[in-house]
Amino acid sequence: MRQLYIIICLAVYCIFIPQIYAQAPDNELANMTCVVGDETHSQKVTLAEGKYRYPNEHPLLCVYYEGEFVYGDFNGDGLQDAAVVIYDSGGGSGYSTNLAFLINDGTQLVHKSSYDLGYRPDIIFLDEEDGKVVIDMCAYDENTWGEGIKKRKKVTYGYTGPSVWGPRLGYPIKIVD
Amino acid sequence: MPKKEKSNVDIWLEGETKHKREALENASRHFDERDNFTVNTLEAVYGKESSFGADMRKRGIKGGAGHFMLEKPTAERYGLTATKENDQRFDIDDASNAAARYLKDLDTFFSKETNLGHGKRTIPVKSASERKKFVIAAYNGGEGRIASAQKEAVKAGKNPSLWNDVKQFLKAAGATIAKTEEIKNFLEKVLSYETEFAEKSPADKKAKKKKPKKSGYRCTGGRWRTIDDQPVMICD
Repeated sequence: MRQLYIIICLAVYCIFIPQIYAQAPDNELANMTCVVGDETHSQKVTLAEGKYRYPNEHPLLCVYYEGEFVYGDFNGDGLQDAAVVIYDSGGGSGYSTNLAFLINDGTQLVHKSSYDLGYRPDIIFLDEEDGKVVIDMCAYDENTWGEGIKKRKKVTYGYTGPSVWGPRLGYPIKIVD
Repeated sequence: MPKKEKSNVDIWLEGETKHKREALENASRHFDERDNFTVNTLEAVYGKESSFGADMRKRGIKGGAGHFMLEKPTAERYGLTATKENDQRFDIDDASNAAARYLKDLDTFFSKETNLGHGKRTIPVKSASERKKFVIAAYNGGEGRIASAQKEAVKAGKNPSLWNDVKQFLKAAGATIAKTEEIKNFLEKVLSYETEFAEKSPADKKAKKKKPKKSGYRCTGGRWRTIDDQPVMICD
Protein backbone atom coordinates (compact mmCIF):
# COMPACT_ATOMS: atom_id res chain seq x y z
CA MET A 1 0.00 0.00 0.00
CA ARG A 2 2.79 2.33 0.96
CA GLN A 3 4.61 1.54 -2.28
CA LEU A 4 1.48 2.35 -4.26
CA TYR A 5 1.19 5.67 -2.41
CA ILE A 6 4.79 6.55 -3.26
CA ILE A 7 4.27 5.62 -6.91
CA ILE A 8 1.16 7.81 -7.10
CA CYS A 9 3.02 10.71 -5.49
CA LEU A 10 5.92 10.30 -7.92
CA ALA A 11 3.53 10.16 -10.87
CA VAL A 12 1.79 13.35 -9.73
CA TYR A 13 5.15 15.03 -9.23
CA CYS A 14 6.39 14.01 -12.65
CA ILE A 15 3.22 15.09 -14.42
CA PHE A 16 2.34 18.35 -12.69
CA ILE A 17 5.50 19.92 -11.26
CA PRO A 18 7.30 20.34 -14.60
CA GLN A 19 4.13 21.92 -16.04
CA ILE A 20 3.95 24.42 -13.20
CA TYR A 21 7.59 25.36 -13.72
CA ALA A 22 7.17 25.46 -17.48
CA GLN A 23 4.33 27.96 -17.13
CA ALA A 24 5.96 30.12 -14.50
CA PRO A 25 8.39 32.10 -16.68
CA ASP A 26 5.79 32.70 -19.36
CA ASN A 27 3.33 33.96 -16.76
CA GLU A 28 5.97 36.29 -15.36
CA LEU A 29 6.74 37.67 -18.81
CA ALA A 30 3.07 37.93 -19.77
CA ASN A 31 2.67 40.41 -16.91
CA MET A 32 5.91 42.31 -17.45
CA THR A 33 6.41 46.05 -17.41
CA CYS A 34 8.07 47.31 -20.55
CA VAL A 35 8.67 50.46 -22.53
CA VAL A 36 7.53 50.87 -26.12
CA GLY A 37 8.45 53.71 -28.41
CA ASP A 38 11.61 55.33 -29.67
CA GLU A 39 13.86 58.29 -28.95
CA THR A 40 11.02 60.72 -29.65
CA HIS A 41 8.09 59.02 -27.91
CA SER A 42 7.88 56.31 -25.32
CA GLN A 43 5.41 54.75 -23.00
CA LYS A 44 5.87 52.52 -19.99
CA VAL A 45 3.18 49.87 -19.78
CA THR A 46 2.42 46.83 -17.68
CA LEU A 47 0.94 43.89 -19.53
CA ALA A 48 -1.87 41.76 -18.15
CA GLU A 49 -1.93 38.25 -19.57
CA GLY A 50 0.27 39.30 -22.44
CA LYS A 51 -1.57 42.44 -23.46
CA TYR A 52 -1.97 46.12 -22.81
CA ARG A 53 -4.61 48.20 -24.51
CA TYR A 54 -5.42 51.83 -23.81
CA PRO A 55 -8.12 52.90 -24.02
CA ASN A 56 -10.08 49.74 -24.63
CA GLU A 57 -12.29 51.31 -27.28
CA HIS A 58 -10.50 53.04 -30.17
CA PRO A 59 -7.09 52.48 -28.56
CA LEU A 60 -4.05 54.66 -29.03
CA LEU A 61 -1.66 52.01 -27.87
CA CYS A 62 -1.80 48.22 -27.83
CA VAL A 63 1.12 46.08 -26.72
CA TYR A 64 1.23 42.32 -27.13
CA TYR A 65 3.49 39.56 -25.92
CA GLU A 66 2.88 36.35 -27.86
CA GLY A 67 5.04 33.99 -25.80
CA GLU A 68 8.33 34.40 -27.69
CA PHE A 69 11.21 34.55 -25.21
CA VAL A 70 14.63 33.20 -24.30
CA TYR A 71 16.56 33.30 -21.04
CA GLY A 72 20.27 33.94 -20.64
CA ASP A 73 22.84 36.10 -18.92
CA PHE A 74 22.92 38.99 -21.35
CA ASN A 75 24.86 41.55 -19.30
CA GLY A 76 27.47 39.16 -17.89
CA ASP A 77 26.62 39.63 -14.20
CA GLY A 78 25.83 35.98 -13.58
CA LEU A 79 22.09 36.53 -13.19
CA GLN A 80 19.45 35.15 -15.49
CA ASP A 81 17.99 37.82 -17.80
CA ALA A 82 15.28 37.48 -20.43
CA ALA A 83 14.85 38.58 -24.01
CA VAL A 84 11.29 38.76 -25.31
CA VAL A 85 9.58 39.80 -28.51
CA ILE A 86 6.94 42.46 -28.00
CA TYR A 87 4.56 43.92 -30.55
CA ASP A 88 2.88 47.31 -30.38
CA SER A 89 0.25 49.02 -32.48
CA GLY A 90 -2.11 51.96 -32.46
CA GLY A 91 -5.09 49.62 -32.69
CA GLY A 92 -4.91 49.30 -36.46
CA SER A 93 -3.30 46.65 -38.60
CA GLY A 94 0.16 48.19 -38.47
CA TYR A 95 2.48 47.03 -35.75
CA SER A 96 6.09 47.27 -34.62
CA THR A 97 8.11 44.26 -33.59
CA ASN A 98 10.80 44.68 -30.97
CA LEU A 99 13.25 42.49 -29.13
CA ALA A 100 13.27 43.64 -25.51
CA PHE A 101 16.08 42.86 -23.08
CA LEU A 102 14.80 42.44 -19.53
CA ILE A 103 17.76 42.59 -17.19
CA ASN A 104 17.71 40.92 -13.79
CA ASP A 105 18.55 43.52 -11.12
CA GLY A 106 18.70 40.90 -8.39
CA THR A 107 15.04 41.11 -7.52
CA GLN A 108 13.16 41.40 -10.79
CA LEU A 109 13.45 41.62 -14.55
CA VAL A 110 13.66 45.23 -15.71
CA HIS A 111 13.23 46.24 -19.35
CA LYS A 112 16.39 48.08 -20.27
CA SER A 113 16.65 48.12 -24.03
CA SER A 114 14.94 47.21 -27.26
CA TYR A 115 15.85 46.49 -30.86
CA ASP A 116 13.46 47.19 -33.71
CA LEU A 117 13.24 43.94 -35.68
CA GLY A 118 12.01 45.63 -38.85
CA TYR A 119 8.80 45.51 -40.85
CA ARG A 120 6.61 42.53 -39.95
CA PRO A 121 9.21 39.79 -39.48
CA ASP A 122 8.09 36.20 -38.84
CA ILE A 123 9.89 35.00 -35.74
CA ILE A 124 10.70 31.33 -36.07
CA PHE A 125 12.95 30.72 -33.09
CA LEU A 126 14.89 32.55 -30.38
CA ASP A 127 18.05 31.08 -28.94
CA GLU A 128 20.77 32.13 -26.54
CA GLU A 129 24.40 31.83 -27.62
CA ASP A 130 27.36 33.19 -25.65
CA GLY A 131 25.28 35.79 -23.82
CA LYS A 132 23.57 36.99 -26.98
CA VAL A 133 20.20 36.37 -28.58
CA VAL A 134 20.05 34.67 -31.94
CA ILE A 135 16.77 35.11 -33.81
CA ASP A 136 15.87 32.82 -36.66
CA MET A 137 13.33 34.74 -38.72
CA CYS A 138 11.92 35.56 -42.12
CA ALA A 139 12.18 39.27 -42.83
CA TYR A 140 11.95 41.82 -45.60
CA ASP A 141 15.01 43.78 -46.65
CA GLU A 142 15.42 47.00 -44.67
CA ASN A 143 13.34 50.03 -45.66
CA THR A 144 11.29 48.13 -48.23
CA TRP A 145 8.07 48.33 -46.18
CA GLY A 146 6.93 44.91 -47.26
CA GLU A 147 7.94 45.12 -50.93
CA GLY A 148 9.65 42.04 -52.26
CA ILE A 149 9.77 38.73 -50.47
CA LYS A 150 10.76 37.75 -46.95
CA LYS A 151 14.09 35.99 -46.61
CA ARG A 152 15.04 33.60 -43.86
CA LYS A 153 17.98 34.77 -41.80
CA LYS A 154 19.60 34.46 -38.40
CA VAL A 155 20.47 37.69 -36.65
CA THR A 156 22.40 38.05 -33.39
CA TYR A 157 21.51 40.76 -30.89
CA GLY A 158 23.61 41.60 -27.85
CA TYR A 159 22.71 43.73 -24.86
CA THR A 160 24.80 46.90 -25.10
CA GLY A 161 23.31 49.00 -22.33
CA PRO A 162 20.06 50.87 -21.79
CA SER A 163 18.12 52.29 -24.74
CA VAL A 164 17.42 55.98 -25.00
CA TRP A 165 13.70 56.56 -24.81
CA GLY A 166 12.15 59.95 -25.24
CA PRO A 167 9.39 61.60 -23.26
CA ARG A 168 5.87 61.18 -24.42
CA LEU A 169 4.50 64.27 -26.15
CA GLY A 170 0.92 64.80 -25.17
CA TYR A 171 -0.74 61.51 -26.06
CA PRO A 172 -1.94 59.34 -24.67
CA ILE A 173 -1.28 58.95 -20.97
CA LYS A 174 1.85 59.77 -19.06
CA ILE A 175 5.55 60.46 -19.37
CA VAL A 176 7.78 57.49 -18.91
CA ASP A 177 9.61 57.37 -15.55
CA MET B 1 12.99 43.43 -75.93
CA PRO B 2 13.47 42.93 -72.15
CA LYS B 3 10.63 41.13 -70.43
CA LYS B 4 8.55 43.47 -68.27
CA GLU B 5 8.69 42.52 -64.60
CA LYS B 6 5.41 41.50 -63.03
CA SER B 7 3.97 43.88 -60.47
CA ASN B 8 2.68 42.74 -57.10
CA VAL B 9 -0.86 43.21 -58.35
CA ASP B 10 -0.15 40.98 -61.38
CA ILE B 11 1.20 38.26 -59.10
CA TRP B 12 -1.73 38.50 -56.66
CA LEU B 13 -4.30 38.40 -59.46
CA GLU B 14 -2.63 35.36 -60.99
CA GLY B 15 -3.00 33.54 -57.69
CA GLU B 16 -6.52 34.76 -56.97
CA THR B 17 -9.05 31.92 -56.77
CA LYS B 18 -12.69 32.29 -57.76
CA HIS B 19 -13.64 31.83 -54.14
CA LYS B 20 -11.36 34.66 -53.00
CA ARG B 21 -12.73 37.00 -55.65
CA GLU B 22 -16.30 36.19 -54.72
CA ALA B 23 -15.51 36.70 -51.03
CA LEU B 24 -14.07 40.15 -51.75
CA GLU B 25 -16.97 41.08 -54.06
CA ASN B 26 -19.44 39.95 -51.47
CA ALA B 27 -17.67 41.89 -48.70
CA SER B 28 -17.64 45.03 -50.86
CA ARG B 29 -21.45 45.05 -50.58
CA HIS B 30 -20.92 46.66 -47.16
CA PHE B 31 -19.84 49.80 -49.03
CA ASP B 32 -22.38 52.24 -50.44
CA GLU B 33 -22.78 55.40 -52.49
CA ARG B 34 -21.66 57.61 -49.59
CA ASP B 35 -18.13 56.21 -49.52
CA ASN B 36 -15.40 56.04 -52.13
CA PHE B 37 -14.63 52.34 -51.82
CA THR B 38 -15.02 49.50 -54.27
CA VAL B 39 -13.94 45.89 -54.32
CA ASN B 40 -10.62 47.23 -55.64
CA THR B 41 -10.06 49.05 -52.33
CA LEU B 42 -10.50 45.75 -50.51
CA GLU B 43 -8.18 43.98 -52.95
CA ALA B 44 -5.56 46.68 -52.39
CA VAL B 45 -5.79 46.44 -48.60
CA TYR B 46 -5.71 42.64 -48.86
CA GLY B 47 -2.60 42.76 -51.02
CA LYS B 48 -0.80 45.16 -48.74
CA GLU B 49 -1.79 43.39 -45.54
CA SER B 50 -1.06 39.76 -46.33
CA SER B 51 0.02 39.58 -49.97
CA PHE B 52 -3.37 38.05 -50.80
CA GLY B 53 -3.21 35.53 -47.98
CA ALA B 54 0.42 34.49 -48.44
CA ASP B 55 1.66 36.07 -45.21
CA MET B 56 -0.87 35.81 -42.41
CA ARG B 57 1.10 35.20 -39.15
CA LYS B 58 -0.05 32.68 -36.55
CA ARG B 59 -3.55 31.60 -35.58
CA GLY B 60 -4.87 32.78 -32.23
CA ILE B 61 -2.36 35.57 -31.61
CA LYS B 62 -3.50 38.80 -29.96
CA GLY B 63 -1.99 41.11 -32.56
CA GLY B 64 -2.85 41.49 -36.23
CA ALA B 65 -3.23 38.23 -38.14
CA GLY B 66 -5.09 36.56 -40.98
CA HIS B 67 -6.03 37.76 -44.44
CA PHE B 68 -6.59 41.38 -43.35
CA MET B 69 -4.28 41.58 -40.30
CA LEU B 70 -7.09 42.32 -37.90
CA GLU B 71 -6.11 42.47 -34.26
CA LYS B 72 -7.94 39.99 -32.06
CA PRO B 73 -10.12 42.65 -30.32
CA THR B 74 -11.04 44.19 -33.69
CA ALA B 75 -11.93 40.78 -35.11
CA GLU B 76 -14.03 39.99 -32.04
CA ARG B 77 -15.81 43.34 -32.37
CA TYR B 78 -17.05 42.14 -35.76
CA GLY B 79 -18.18 38.80 -34.38
CA LEU B 80 -15.21 36.70 -35.39
CA THR B 81 -13.66 34.02 -33.22
CA ALA B 82 -9.89 34.34 -32.92
CA THR B 83 -8.53 31.39 -30.99
CA LYS B 84 -5.69 29.05 -31.80
CA GLU B 85 -8.19 26.28 -32.55
CA ASN B 86 -10.59 28.39 -34.57
CA ASP B 87 -9.36 31.66 -35.98
CA GLN B 88 -11.86 33.15 -38.41
CA ARG B 89 -9.37 35.84 -39.39
CA PHE B 90 -7.93 33.05 -41.53
CA ASP B 91 -11.24 32.44 -43.29
CA ILE B 92 -11.40 34.67 -46.36
CA ASP B 93 -15.20 35.09 -46.18
CA ASP B 94 -15.24 36.10 -42.52
CA ALA B 95 -12.07 38.18 -42.68
CA SER B 96 -13.04 40.15 -45.79
CA ASN B 97 -16.50 40.85 -44.37
CA ALA B 98 -15.01 42.11 -41.10
CA ALA B 99 -12.42 44.21 -42.94
CA ALA B 100 -15.07 45.79 -45.18
CA ARG B 101 -17.29 46.57 -42.18
CA TYR B 102 -14.31 48.04 -40.34
CA LEU B 103 -13.47 50.26 -43.34
CA LYS B 104 -17.11 51.32 -43.57
CA ASP B 105 -17.20 52.15 -39.84
CA LEU B 106 -14.01 54.17 -40.16
CA ASP B 107 -15.58 56.04 -43.07
CA THR B 108 -18.58 56.84 -40.87
CA PHE B 109 -16.31 58.04 -38.04
CA PHE B 110 -14.58 60.50 -40.35
CA SER B 111 -17.72 61.59 -42.21
CA LYS B 112 -19.21 63.21 -39.10
CA GLU B 113 -17.83 64.33 -35.76
CA THR B 114 -17.51 61.18 -33.71
CA ASN B 115 -16.63 60.93 -30.06
CA LEU B 116 -14.03 58.18 -29.74
CA GLY B 117 -13.75 58.66 -25.98
CA HIS B 118 -10.89 59.92 -23.79
CA GLY B 119 -11.01 63.37 -25.38
CA LYS B 120 -10.63 62.07 -28.90
CA ARG B 121 -13.05 63.31 -31.54
CA THR B 122 -12.86 62.97 -35.27
CA ILE B 123 -13.22 66.08 -37.38
CA PRO B 124 -15.49 65.51 -40.40
CA VAL B 125 -13.93 65.21 -43.83
CA LYS B 126 -16.66 66.11 -46.33
CA SER B 127 -15.06 64.89 -49.55
CA ALA B 128 -15.41 61.10 -49.85
CA SER B 129 -12.20 60.81 -51.88
CA GLU B 130 -10.20 62.81 -49.32
CA ARG B 131 -11.86 60.91 -46.47
CA LYS B 132 -10.70 57.64 -47.99
CA LYS B 133 -7.11 58.68 -47.17
CA PHE B 134 -8.03 59.18 -43.50
CA VAL B 135 -9.84 55.85 -43.43
CA ILE B 136 -7.00 53.84 -44.96
CA ALA B 137 -4.49 55.57 -42.70
CA ALA B 138 -6.72 54.75 -39.72
CA TYR B 139 -7.02 51.11 -40.80
CA ASN B 140 -3.26 50.87 -40.39
CA GLY B 141 -2.52 53.41 -37.65
CA GLY B 142 -5.72 53.25 -35.61
CA GLU B 143 -8.59 55.75 -35.67
CA GLY B 144 -7.57 57.22 -32.31
CA ARG B 145 -4.16 58.19 -33.63
CA ILE B 146 -5.57 59.82 -36.78
CA ALA B 147 -8.20 61.73 -34.78
CA SER B 148 -5.42 62.95 -32.46
CA ALA B 149 -3.39 64.09 -35.46
CA GLN B 150 -6.42 66.05 -36.71
CA LYS B 151 -6.59 67.77 -33.30
CA GLU B 152 -2.88 68.64 -33.50
CA ALA B 153 -3.40 70.04 -37.01
CA VAL B 154 -6.13 72.35 -35.71
CA LYS B 155 -3.82 73.57 -32.91
CA ALA B 156 -1.19 74.40 -35.53
CA GLY B 157 -3.69 76.31 -37.68
CA LYS B 158 -3.75 73.66 -40.43
CA ASN B 159 -6.76 72.13 -42.17
CA PRO B 160 -7.82 68.97 -40.26
CA SER B 161 -9.82 67.77 -43.27
CA LEU B 162 -6.82 67.62 -45.59
CA TRP B 163 -4.64 64.53 -45.30
CA ASN B 164 -1.54 66.40 -46.51
CA ASP B 165 -1.92 68.75 -43.55
CA VAL B 166 -2.84 66.11 -40.99
CA LYS B 167 -0.08 63.64 -41.88
CA GLN B 168 2.49 66.14 -40.64
CA PHE B 169 1.09 65.76 -37.13
CA LEU B 170 1.23 62.00 -36.69
CA LYS B 171 4.38 62.32 -34.59
CA ALA B 172 2.86 65.06 -32.47
CA ALA B 173 -0.09 62.70 -31.96
CA GLY B 174 2.19 60.10 -30.44
CA ALA B 175 3.31 57.97 -33.36
CA THR B 176 6.94 56.91 -33.37
CA ILE B 177 9.17 57.75 -36.33
CA ALA B 178 8.81 54.22 -37.74
CA LYS B 179 5.05 54.16 -37.19
CA THR B 180 4.64 57.53 -38.92
CA GLU B 181 6.55 56.25 -41.94
CA GLU B 182 4.56 53.03 -41.95
CA ILE B 183 1.21 54.82 -41.98
CA LYS B 184 2.27 57.12 -44.85
CA ASN B 185 3.74 54.22 -46.81
CA PHE B 186 0.67 52.04 -46.22
CA LEU B 187 -1.66 54.72 -47.55
CA GLU B 188 0.51 55.47 -50.57
CA LYS B 189 0.78 51.78 -51.50
CA VAL B 190 -2.89 50.96 -50.98
CA LEU B 191 -3.99 53.87 -53.17
CA SER B 192 -1.53 52.88 -55.86
CA TYR B 193 -2.57 49.20 -55.73
CA GLU B 194 -6.22 50.23 -55.83
CA THR B 195 -5.65 52.13 -59.09
CA GLU B 196 -3.85 49.14 -60.58
CA PHE B 197 -6.55 46.70 -59.44
CA ALA B 198 -9.19 48.98 -60.99
CA GLU B 199 -7.43 48.56 -64.35
CA LYS B 200 -6.60 44.87 -64.15
CA SER B 201 -8.92 43.04 -61.76
CA PRO B 202 -11.90 41.14 -63.13
CA ALA B 203 -13.75 41.62 -59.81
CA ASP B 204 -17.21 43.18 -60.06
CA LYS B 205 -16.85 46.86 -59.16
CA LYS B 206 -20.61 47.27 -59.00
CA ALA B 207 -20.98 44.65 -56.28
CA LYS B 208 -21.20 47.42 -53.67
CA LYS B 209 -24.58 48.41 -55.10
CA LYS B 210 -26.01 45.09 -53.98
CA LYS B 211 -27.10 44.33 -50.46
CA PRO B 212 -24.67 42.38 -48.24
CA LYS B 213 -25.43 38.70 -48.22
CA LYS B 214 -24.36 35.79 -46.10
CA SER B 215 -21.92 33.60 -47.93
CA GLY B 216 -23.23 30.24 -49.02
CA TYR B 217 -19.71 28.97 -49.36
CA ARG B 218 -18.76 25.87 -47.48
CA CYS B 219 -15.20 24.70 -47.63
CA THR B 220 -14.38 21.16 -48.54
CA GLY B 221 -10.70 21.18 -47.59
CA GLY B 222 -9.65 21.59 -43.99
CA ARG B 223 -9.38 19.75 -40.72
CA TRP B 224 -11.82 18.88 -38.02
CA ARG B 225 -11.35 20.24 -34.51
CA THR B 226 -13.46 19.84 -31.42
CA ILE B 227 -14.56 23.15 -29.95
CA ASP B 228 -16.94 23.16 -26.99
CA ASP B 229 -17.52 19.48 -27.63
CA GLN B 230 -18.76 20.23 -31.15
CA PRO B 231 -16.99 19.12 -34.33
CA VAL B 232 -15.94 22.18 -36.32
CA MET B 233 -14.31 22.25 -39.75
CA ILE B 234 -11.36 24.63 -39.90
CA CYS B 235 -11.07 25.59 -43.56
CA ASP B 236 -7.68 25.68 -45.25
